[in-house]
Amino acid sequence: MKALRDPEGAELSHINNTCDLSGKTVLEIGCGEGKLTYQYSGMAGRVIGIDPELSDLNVAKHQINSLDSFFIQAIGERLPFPSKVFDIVIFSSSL
Amino acid sequence: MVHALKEAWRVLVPHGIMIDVRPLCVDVPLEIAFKGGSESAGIVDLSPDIARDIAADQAIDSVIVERIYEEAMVEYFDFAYYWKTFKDMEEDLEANWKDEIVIPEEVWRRAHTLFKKRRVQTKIRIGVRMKLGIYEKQG
Repeated sequence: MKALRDPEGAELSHINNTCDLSGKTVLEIGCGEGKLTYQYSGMAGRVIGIDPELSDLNVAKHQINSLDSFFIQAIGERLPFPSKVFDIVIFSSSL
Repeated sequence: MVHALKEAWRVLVPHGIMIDVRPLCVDVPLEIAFKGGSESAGIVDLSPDIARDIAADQAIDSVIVERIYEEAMVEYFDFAYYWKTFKDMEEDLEANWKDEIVIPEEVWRRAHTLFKKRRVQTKIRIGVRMKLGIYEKQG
């Protein structure tokens, strides 16, 4: 069984203290199973999570049932998006 | 990594924000946590993946020197992983942390001893050090 990851919510708390996600269009690179995505998807305007692992993305899709959250199989070096569309890009343990 | 940072720059709106949040490869304690407290079993070695840390920092430095991002702030915080049993932890480490962590035998032994005290809500915890960098798109 995988670890229970950051139940204290330290990661989101620190991100929130330094950067306002509300209403923003966010790209999360390396979203994995959406553990971090899940925590902020309700406050951001639109969220797109990308990850190379399809099995992780399927878990994320099941966890986050939001009309404004999307998960796509892709890598950070080749983003399948047009230019200048995201307010915030998060490298989630993926640099 | 630099290529990914440049792709992120491309898709960001003018003055958009790039966030780099990741665990650092520094030694951290393996603890047995329980209701009301915790005890350290010793230090685990996260250095096997240190080359990745260095490469990520160099990539960030490179795009700042290139002036396509400006550093807004960098801070560090603690971030914990918990497992309910050693079996869960061993399976997880084998599957997901295999080349990133070394737990000395002595630390394992002491952790098992502490765990066997069966205090209320006993869990195994590794607290990693996280780096949070906030950067603003330039140009």
